Formats: sequence, C-alpha cells, structure tokens
Amino acid sequence: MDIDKDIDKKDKKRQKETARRQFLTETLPAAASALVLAAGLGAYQRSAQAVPPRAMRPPGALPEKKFQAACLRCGQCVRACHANLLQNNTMEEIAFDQPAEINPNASVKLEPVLRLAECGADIPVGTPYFIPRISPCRLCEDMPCAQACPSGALSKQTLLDEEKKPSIYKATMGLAVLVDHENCIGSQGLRCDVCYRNCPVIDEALTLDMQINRRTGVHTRFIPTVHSKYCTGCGKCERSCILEHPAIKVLPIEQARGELGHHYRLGWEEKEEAGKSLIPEALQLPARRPEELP
Amino acid sequence: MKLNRRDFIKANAALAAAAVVGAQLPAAEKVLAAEGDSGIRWDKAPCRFCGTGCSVLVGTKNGKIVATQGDPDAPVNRGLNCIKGYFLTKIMYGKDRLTKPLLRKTNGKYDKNGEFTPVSWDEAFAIMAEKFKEAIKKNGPTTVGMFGSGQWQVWEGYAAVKLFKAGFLSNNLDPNARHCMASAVAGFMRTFGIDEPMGCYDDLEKADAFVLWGSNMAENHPILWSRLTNRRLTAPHVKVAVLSTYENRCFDLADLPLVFHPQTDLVILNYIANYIIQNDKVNKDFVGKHVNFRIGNTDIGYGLRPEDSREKNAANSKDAGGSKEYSFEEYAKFVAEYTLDKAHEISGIAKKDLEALAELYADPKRKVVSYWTMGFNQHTRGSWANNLVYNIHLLTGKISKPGCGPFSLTGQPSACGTAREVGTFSHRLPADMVVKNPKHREIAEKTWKIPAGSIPAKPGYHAVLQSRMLKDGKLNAYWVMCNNNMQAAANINEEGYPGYRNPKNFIVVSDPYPTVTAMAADLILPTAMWVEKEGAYGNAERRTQFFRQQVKAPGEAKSDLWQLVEFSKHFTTDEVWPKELLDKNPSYKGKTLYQILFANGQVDKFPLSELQKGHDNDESHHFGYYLQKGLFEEYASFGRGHGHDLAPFEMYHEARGLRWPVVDKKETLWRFREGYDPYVKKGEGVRFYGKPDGKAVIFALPYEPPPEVPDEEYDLWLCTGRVLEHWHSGSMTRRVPELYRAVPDALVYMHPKDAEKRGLKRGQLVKIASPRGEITCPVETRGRNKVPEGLVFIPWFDAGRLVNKLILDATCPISKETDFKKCPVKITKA
Amino acid sequence: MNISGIVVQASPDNSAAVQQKLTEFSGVEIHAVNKEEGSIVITLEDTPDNVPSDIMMDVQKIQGVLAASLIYNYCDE
Repeated sequence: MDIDKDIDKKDKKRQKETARRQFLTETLPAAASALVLAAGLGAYQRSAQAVPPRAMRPPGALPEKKFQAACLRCGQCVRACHANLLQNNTMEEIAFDQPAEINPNASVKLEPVLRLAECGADIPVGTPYFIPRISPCRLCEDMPCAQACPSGALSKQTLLDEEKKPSIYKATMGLAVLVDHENCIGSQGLRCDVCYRNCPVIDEALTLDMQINRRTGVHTRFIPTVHSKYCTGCGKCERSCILEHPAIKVLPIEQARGELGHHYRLGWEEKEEAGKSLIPEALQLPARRPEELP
Repeated sequence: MKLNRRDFIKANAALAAAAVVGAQLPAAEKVLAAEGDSGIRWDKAPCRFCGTGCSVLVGTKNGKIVATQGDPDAPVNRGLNCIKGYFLTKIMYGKDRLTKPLLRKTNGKYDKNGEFTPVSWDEAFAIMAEKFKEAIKKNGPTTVGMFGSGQWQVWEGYAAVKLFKAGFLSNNLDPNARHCMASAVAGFMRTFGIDEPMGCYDDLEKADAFVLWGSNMAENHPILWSRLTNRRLTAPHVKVAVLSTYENRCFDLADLPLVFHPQTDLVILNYIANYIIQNDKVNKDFVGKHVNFRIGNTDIGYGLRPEDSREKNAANSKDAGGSKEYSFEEYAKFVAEYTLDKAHEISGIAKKDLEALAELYADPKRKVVSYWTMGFNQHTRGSWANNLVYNIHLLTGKISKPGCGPFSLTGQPSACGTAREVGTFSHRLPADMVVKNPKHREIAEKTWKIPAGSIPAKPGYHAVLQSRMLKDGKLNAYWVMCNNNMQAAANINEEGYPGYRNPKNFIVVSDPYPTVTAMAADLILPTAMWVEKEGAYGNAERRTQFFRQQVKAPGEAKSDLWQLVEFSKHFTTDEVWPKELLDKNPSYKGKTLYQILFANGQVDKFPLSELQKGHDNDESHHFGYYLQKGLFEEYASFGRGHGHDLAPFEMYHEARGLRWPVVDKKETLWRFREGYDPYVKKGEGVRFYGKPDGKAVIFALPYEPPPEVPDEEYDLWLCTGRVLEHWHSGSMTRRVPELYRAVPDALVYMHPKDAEKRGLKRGQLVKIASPRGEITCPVETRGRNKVPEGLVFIPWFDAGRLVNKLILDATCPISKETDFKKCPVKITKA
Repeated sequence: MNISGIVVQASPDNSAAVQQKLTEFSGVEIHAVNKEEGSIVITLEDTPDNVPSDIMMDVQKIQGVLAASLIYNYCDE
C-alpha cells in the first residue's frame, strides 16, 4: 500500500501533468518564434512590473552591447532551459496565488526561467532574459542554455574557475542588493533571513551581519549582506523575499556597484593579499614604563 | 471620521482612475488616510507556532484578523517575530478552509470507500456516536481511541482526558507530543520525578556557555536563537558548542562546531562524565547531598512489533525502564571505559574538540546551559540521552540556578501546557500523575466525581501502538484532532495508512484544512483555529499564556473544545460503562456523559456574566456557562499545592503569561533551589522534591547501536527535520503564499561527493528509497544544510513528498517516541 | 457590492455638457475633471435601481464622449 498511489494525491498529480503537457505543446513551439503570449496577459502584466531596468541575461552572456550584436534570436537557449527544468521537475509553481500543492482545485501555473522578449518590451525582441522575482536562474551546473547557444552570445568559456573549468558559480548575471533596509524585516530584528537561507552560494555571496538589537537589549539583528565577489545574480533571493515588494533585488552590476576612487586602496585588504606588509619591516622601539619587570 | 467599507472601496476606485490621468484627489486620499488603522481592536495572544511562546497583538476589524504585530512588551520576544509569526494574519484564510463536516458517502449513505459529502453536524455526530458505541459494545473500551495534540488549548486537552479516561473509560488517548517530547518527559520523570525544565529563558542572558545537542535552534526556535546570539556577541567569554549529525545554521555561531556520527551522542555524553570524574571536577558536596546513583536495564529493544527479531532477542524489552541501585564508585568505573580515544573513534569528533567540550562542563567557574530538541528526543535511546545529559549537570552541580541547567526546547505551542501538564498521554493523568498508580487514579476519580475504580489501570495505546492496533483491527473508532499524523508519523505505508483504511475502522479527523490525514479519514470535522476561540498555551519555560476569542470561525467550523463537549451528549453511561460498575453505583445510571463530565457542578459553575464584554465566546454561549473557566479551575485543582500551582484564571487574562508554580502571586524562574522555588524550605539549599527523598538520580547507561545501519544497498543515513519557513507538516504555513514561494518544496540535502558518485547533478530529481517506500525530490548539494558524506537530510513539511514513508517506526522503548533521525536509504536517478 | 473607477474621455469642448449628463445617472459620482484634456474621473457604484454594466454602456453613448475606460473594479457578494 502506498499512500501516494492511492486517494491522496491523484488530483494534484493529474493537474500537474496536464499543466506540464500544455506547456510542452503550447509554449515551447511558440518560444522559438519569439512569443510569450502563452503566459497570458495577467502574467505579462505581472512580469512587466517585475522586469528590472535592464534585461537579466542567462549565465555566460557577453557584455550587453556585444551580446545584442551576437545573439541570433534563435531561442535555442530558452528551449534548452525549459527542457532541463521539465526533466528535473523544478519549474516554480508560482505562488502569488494559493499553493497548488495542497489545494487540488487551484490552477497550477508553471513558470519557466528563460523567456524571449516580445514586441513592445524595452528588451530587444527575441533575446533571452529572465525575471528574478517570478522565476530565478536555477544555476544548472552544466549550463544547458549556454551549451545550446550557436552564436557564442552565451559562452561557458567566459566562466572559468581557478582550475580553468567552466563553473556556473562564476556567473555574474547581476548583483543582489538589499535596496530597502527599512522594510527588510531582518534588519528590524525579526527572524526572517529567507533570502540568506535560499542563496545557492550561502555564506559566501550572502552572509548575515549580526548586530546587537539595542531596542530590545537581548536580541540580535541578522542583516543580509551581499558579497559581489561571489554573487551570481541568479535572483533566488529576490524571488524568495517575503515582502509585498522585495527588499532585496538583483540589479545589473554597473547599476548596483559603487566604485572606489582610483587613487585609494584599502590597506588591510592589500596587506592580506600580499601576505605581508607592503613595506619592509619597520623599526619599533620599546616604550618606557614606570617599573620594568625583569 | 467614521467610514464604511463602501466609502473605502469607492475612494480606492476613484484614486486608481485618477492616477491614470494624473489628477489629484485630496478628498479620496483623506478617506484612505483616515481608514488606515482606525477601528482596529488590538488584543494579546501567543503565536500559534512553536514552543518559544512569543506574544503578538492581534488586530481585528469587521470580524476579520487584519493585522498582527509582535508585542513590544512581551518578555519573550519584545516585539519581534520570526517569519512564521510575521504571517499569522494569513494562516486562517487559506482558500480551502473547511466549513462543513464531510462524510464519505455513496448513494446518500455512509460508505468507507465513498466520496466526501457535506453533512450536518447532527448527521456527523450521529454516525460517529454509532461507530463508537458499536465498537465499545463489541469489544470493550480499548477499541476506541483518540490522537490529540500539543497544539490543543489547555482546556481542550483536559476535556479530551475527561471524555476518554473518565467517560469512555479508555486510556487510548495520546498526543502528537509523543513524537516530540516523550523522551524529555521520560528523562525528567526518571531523573527528577517531576516533569519540565527547572530553568527558564532568563538563562539565555546569564550563561557562560551554551551546548546544543541535536537542536537546530537557529531555524526552529528563531527568537530564542536571536537572544542566544546576542549573549555571545555582547560577552566575548561566552562559548557556543553545537553538536549535530550535519552542519545546520547554528554552526554559523559555533565556537565548537561538532559533527558526530548518528547515535554516538551516547558515547560523547558518557565520555564527558568520565572526563569530569577523571579530572576531579565532580562537585562532591552537591552529589553527596542531592544525588542517588542507579544502573538502568540494557539491551531494551527498539519498540518494534513484538514478533520482530530485534524485540525477541532483546533481553530487557519487557522491562526497558527498570533499574537497580548503584554507587558513585561503580558509576565511575562504568563510565571509565568511555575514554577520549574511544569517544573519538566512535563519534568521529577530533580529540581536542572533545576535550574542549568536556572542559566547558567541567570548569567549575563556567555556567553552562544545555539545549536540545529532536536530536535527543527522536532517538531509539532518547530517554537515555536525556538522562545522560542530566548526569553531567548533576555531577557538576550546574543545575537549578541562574545561567545553569539542562533545558529541553519544545516544538509545539502547548506541548508543555497541554500535552504534558494536563496529561493527555496514554499512561498519564493531570499534574504528572499516572494511571498505573492506584492513589493517582483515586485522586482523579474523586476530583471528577466518578465512581471509584472507573479509570483503567493499564496504560492505553501510545501513538505508535495506535497505528499498529488500527492496522490489526483492534482499535476501531478513532478520533484524530489538531494534528496531521498521517504526514507526521513514521512508516506511513506499512502501518498508518492501512490502519486508517482498514474496513473494520471508522476514522474521524478534526482539522481546519484538508490535510493528508483528513483526506485519509472517513469523517472530517471542520475546526476553529487559534483566535477563533478562547485559548491557553503553555510554552517551554513553564509560561502559561491566555488569549480571548477575537473572531468567529468560518461557516460551520467549531472549536475542538465544542466538539469534545458536545459529542459527550451523545452517550449515556448505560451505553458505554460496564454493567458491574453501574450496578455498584446506581446513581450514575441513565445519565449522559455530558452530565457526568461537564455539567457536574464544577465545570458549569461560572456564569456567563463573567465573560469579557466585547469578545465572543462561542462555546460558553452554546453551553450556557463559562466553560473554559470551569474546566481550567477544575484542572488546576490537581496541581495546586503539589508543585504545579497555576494562578487563578483571571490573572492569566491580565498578565503576559506566568511561569508556574505560581505561589503567593509570584512566578517561579528556577525550580528546586531555595529562595527561587517556594517548595524548597529554608536551609535545604537544593531539593529535588519530585523524588520522595529529595534526591535526583544519576543513571549508568551505555551506548547501544541503532536498530538499522546503512549497508551495501541502503548506503546512506537519512535524517529528517524542519525549516524556519514552515511549521511542522506545513498545513498552515504552506497556505501562506509568501512562505510557500520562499520554500515551495522539500529538497534532499546531499554532500557533493555523494552526488558525484551517483552521477547526480544539483537540481536533478532523484528517488530516495528505504525498504518501506520511496519519494522523489530534487538534489541540493549546497544551501542551508551542509551534510557530511554518507548522510542526507530531508525536511518533512512537504505534503507532496511524504518522507515519513521511509522511516522505520522504531521507538525509544521507554518513552515510545519514534526515531526520525536515522534511517538507511538509497538514492538513485528518478 | 460592485464599485468601479472609470476615466471618461470627452472632447474638451463638450466636457461641461458631458459632466451634466453624467450626474443624471444613478450611482455615478464625479471626482475630478481635467478641462484642458477633457478627462473626467468618476466612480460608479451599484444602487438598488441600476445595473452597473448597463450604465457603463450608456455612459459611452453620451454625446461627446470619446471613450470610457474601466480602470478599477471591486466586486463581492
């Protein structure tokens, strides 16, 4: 006897299967011809609101201008992304509405990651992008999207790790930024840290800065802190933020980052990198004290 | 400015339209600004979720909860909440909330294999009463039973105890706390003779070291973790040691991060005791005055079915809790074999780390608190693990004083207040009394005004046994209330589910939502939840907190309390009590159970005029008296004067929770110590008054292996647990869209090398199988939990992936609590 | 309850006449008028003697109305 094979989940499974088949038959062919109408008007409006100021490109994309020149608008990356997600059953069931998992009557909406820009959007038509708040990049280790790209607009070779092997964790699709400290409930001392625990590069790209909660006197504030060296820009944090509008967002790197004056270096970082002081060992004299101990 | 909902919506409509053409609408804006928070009534309530017991203020308007806020003046959380508490407003308003009783029917008649059909409460109770009567008539009161909850309100648990133990005369009542705190209860009772921690949360600001044993406090007691972290940050000398079988979020803060092999905590605990003795760090004065030594029975089996060879071959499976007198010298010799070398070899922890851990306890200048949760309790030697940690605190005298003590953290909001204190276990009665003890039965029978000899002396079926008896057809009428046991209990496919679907049985589930358990039942009763009723919870630090009814339940949903009390009207003593008992006590003949249990002159003695004006109390208005107060005062009479003193009823509605024993209008923060505890007389210093001679017991107990270990086929350990975003089986939190979006599904956390060995990629769907079943879920090789090679972790909140299908229903033979933490599995591509 | 927020676009010359007409409908309330552009912000609520969808249609038929756009609608039992 297996409970899952019996009364219990029949409805849910059937629904999921139907939704998946529909997606395969309706959306995928359309994707290749640069259309996302299958997502429906409602979803489009939602996505329009969630679209960042610049399109979030798949991992391994060339710099934006070069990317736009190189991209053939063929949709192969989108197709590869969808196929991979379906195989692994990791489409997000979009949960702005009732969780489908536990309510067999709720409509199941499967959200793809990569989509092709359509007419009227700010993004060049037919180029691939994703919307972190709706469906973040899954950071597939073999990068099926980049693998499928015939033009080199997406290239695994731009993401080499220390061993010169392509690594998805070298991706820099964007940079997460805690844009609103005041509404981030973690910064207020509540125990949220959802973005942190959902980060695929947890403890490197996102850490918790623990600060004393002076208001209560006995608690700690756990403040999500992004480290650009490790952040891939996948958008899982933005997706999972539980606020009405996310307090943490993925932005294009050039918009997200400040730039230190070219004339200045951080002394402690320079020393750590060099492994020693940058100047020869300086002379140090002992200080005179009232009673020298033998 | 008073405005109605129509004005408010109209203002919204006008503003939305005006925005399109860029027009300003000062009048409409004023309407909306005035709307804001005006007209919201704020009142206090404890959070619905874990045992921490944070307090919130609940905002009600137009009969709906519209907002909550952390209570800034609550001593536990001071205005803070975790992410679950943040969403309390939304837990009652899931779209699939049940509003009508549902009975499986075919062609208008009850049919075990029929479809769920809406019925009236009359029809629901009629068929239910028929099935209960039929079962009792056929094979006696052991054929009826109930599975209750550590989420029940105090008076709901108490009404259930009365209905079953004093009404149906059946001890087959057990709470889901059996899966959660039973080992802690057994440990406290064996060592101290009285249940629940001696310390309180104030220790968090006073200790010099914290040792976490199998507790992912960072995720599962989030607000307490915030306090612990603050202590660590503000006092640099404070050390935090974290022991677990994998790296959880607590390791972030750990000065001593210790990952050990499953089950070897028993070795580490004995090693620490040995270290303390070898290094002459025993607090001899304390041990001499306040401690006895005993050696416990060994080879006690695994709580499996008696025909299992592991039970047949166990020498002491019949007397698992037995023990004999012992001396300090013998005990010292007993633990001497747990050397540093041995502890290192078996546990896998580096020697220097073991020594550092032992020194935290041994150093007489260091105040230490030990915290544990399910790592200790859900353990086939869970009662032992609890006893062994008490040994360490007793040897060093680090107990029952500010900043020192062993502290079991509870997972449910009223595991202490309801399940433990009220005694909703199959072997217990209120205030730590047990059914086995004739004196205790006599006290209960007198208080309840039922005939002498009514309460059966034999303990009823505990949680795991209930599942087995359902399957075997020996438990036939079964009521599950305020829990999701089909998802929570182990070995679903072989024990739980066949039991529910056994044609001989009639299963009733009371729940606000169609959970896995409800869907497996024959009759579903729609239930009021949280502030849809007046309630009382007791948290982990003995703090009892009351709240009033804020809103009405939707549709025909009724509270657990209403259901229990109303159902009792459907039975007369002649129908369910033995003839001999009635012949001996003819005055009870022909009465309904309702008359005997509730309209007994005690429960019904407080008039409706005592109700708080301005608040509903649907149960009291239905029955015609202040039901909750009557039940509470009768219940409290068990513990007052016996170390379990609860304050008068009204006081709890005024206070933000009080820690018992409440004597002379004072709370008790540290029990068993003179000056802090009213039950310790002047000059006694310390007295463990749960034991007749005032002495606690140090138990000599060895390491014994788990019932199953990984082999060639099932080559990985599986550990289950929880995540911060979801509470237990997720029946409430997964209906909050934001929480569902944050963590939609369960993942299997796996070491990257284990994944690589099996050709698995991160994100890939895999099949996890044990001999008892299989589930599929995506692999996670990174993320919040870092597991060692050879072990995987899967959280159990996901109703779509019932991980407890895989788990063996092996228990601690003493506490009968299931081990959910170590189960051999294999993992392959799905 | 059924309440809508509507932007009525009239030619600026006819704006005053359109406003006058609008006030004659049951359940209609004018909230703002942009004289230069001829746009009028109204709300339309259900009353015992009207059918909101009919009124919406009738508004469109008023002489001088170029368009009536439904911007916001609230509906419950």
